[in-house]
Amino acid sequence: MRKTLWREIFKFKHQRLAWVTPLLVALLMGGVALTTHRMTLSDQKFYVTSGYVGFQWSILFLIVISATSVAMEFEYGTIKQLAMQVPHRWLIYVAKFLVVLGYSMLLHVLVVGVTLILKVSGDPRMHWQTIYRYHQSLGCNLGINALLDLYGGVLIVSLVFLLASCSRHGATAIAVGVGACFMGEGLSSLLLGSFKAFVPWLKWNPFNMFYLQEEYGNPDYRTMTHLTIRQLEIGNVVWTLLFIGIGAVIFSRRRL
Amino acid sequence: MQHVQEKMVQVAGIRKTFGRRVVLRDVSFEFSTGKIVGLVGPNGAGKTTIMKILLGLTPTAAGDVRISGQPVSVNTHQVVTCQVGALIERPAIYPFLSGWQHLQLTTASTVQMDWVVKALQMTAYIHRPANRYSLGMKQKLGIAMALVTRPRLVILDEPMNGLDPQSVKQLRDLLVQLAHEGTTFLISSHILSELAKIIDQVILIDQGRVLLQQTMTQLHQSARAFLVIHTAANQRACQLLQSAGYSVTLREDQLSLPASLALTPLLKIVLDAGIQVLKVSQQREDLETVLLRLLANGRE
Repeated sequence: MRKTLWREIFKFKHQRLAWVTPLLVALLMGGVALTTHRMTLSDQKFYVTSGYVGFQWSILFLIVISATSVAMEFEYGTIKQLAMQVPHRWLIYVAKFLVVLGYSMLLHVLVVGVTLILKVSGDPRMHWQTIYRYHQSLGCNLGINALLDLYGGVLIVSLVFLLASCSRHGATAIAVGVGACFMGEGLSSLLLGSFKAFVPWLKWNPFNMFYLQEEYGNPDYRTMTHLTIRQLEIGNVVWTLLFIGIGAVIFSRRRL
Repeated sequence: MQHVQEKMVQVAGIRKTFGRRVVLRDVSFEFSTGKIVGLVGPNGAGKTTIMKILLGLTPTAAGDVRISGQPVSVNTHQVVTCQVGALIERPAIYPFLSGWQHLQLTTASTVQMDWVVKALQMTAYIHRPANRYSLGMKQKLGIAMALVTRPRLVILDEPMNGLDPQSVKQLRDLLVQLAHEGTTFLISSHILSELAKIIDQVILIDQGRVLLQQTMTQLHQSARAFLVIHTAANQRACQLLQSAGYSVTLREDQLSLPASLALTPLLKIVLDAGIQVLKVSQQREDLETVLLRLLANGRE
């Protein structure tokens, strides 16, 4: 496993996307920071705690990176060489997942770091110790948002990995992944609102788990999700493990 | 028991299906360490499928595959991971890595990387990104990746594809040298003339069946010999010999007859008719002709 992981890291760090992504995320965050200068103090606080939309941009890039990471092996025909080098093909899948997970952590650290820098240009009345939501400081809110986004992002990455395992080209997985990321919550609400009799079952649908961050930020969301924060956390883990498991089986059994 | 241990590859009763289509039927063959074995057959015969099965990349419906006496399947191929190098279908190349980085992915030994780069004469471009490589350069890189770990068994699917004549000769010499040092090769190629120069054994496969497995010596012995006569009037000489009861064919402006015939009475008929004999020689079928004949016989 160590050797497989090393190979995946080696390939990943030589891909241009791995180096361009942090730069683009930082630039986009800078762009958002510029637009917040004339906003109210409350709005500026919101943008600081949400990492100047850096977390959302990170997830978008992670979807592209995840889909490319899996699909490229079939596109370039390199999967045969890889499969020969490991005792079980699922090891490649898990190694790739771990690399993307590690990269996601780095991106979230970067977003927090860039937010620290960009905040300097914001309203001088805004301090890290300023109490914001849930009687917690601005800094604490930023940290919790980063952790929740990281946690919720694992589910999206596992879904994109599964989709990429089923398709020969990454584009399909990217399209469906982005769609799920932006429309998943809406779809879940639609389902729960339309089929009220099935709510006890439908509330466990994977897209409902995307509400974790929102429900943490606003407990009123519980009336929409029908799940507690704890249940959303567990649901995230269970769906992630399920997606990884199914994805690994499909990846291992694909005809080479 | 000793005999079994010397076998590098043992394939017994392999059956492979894709849906309802049977692509391999009861395929069995074996070969020893240090041999260069040619896997020959028309397109779609099942050559690449056999190679993928040997590498544990494709499951089988039935049969047993062993390399160095160890079983090989999709779930059990430790021996492939440790002892086999391969180039299957097309070189496994990431466009964003250089040739050298591809070798780094395969081995940690810079000594072996230097060796294979020099052996295949890739020094000039090995550090260039692979997306700037020509077809031949990519092919060489694929071969280098198969050889760089100095595996005991090397499986090469159409290795001469895209290589210029000089590179083909270099590769041929390298494979022969490595075989002398104990490496075993299983090579498929449609360039039979090139393959014939290096292989010790040939496995002929068609429509998922092994038609024959022979050493090159055996194959040369089974090659038919012909008596070839070139005269000043081939058409007339052909008619004369046919009317005298000889089995003669007029091919490419020369007369072709079975080599077992006595030459003197045959020539006497031609000379007595006043036809000048320009050249008499004996020719043997080349590998390509023998294999094509065997393929045709196998299909009848």
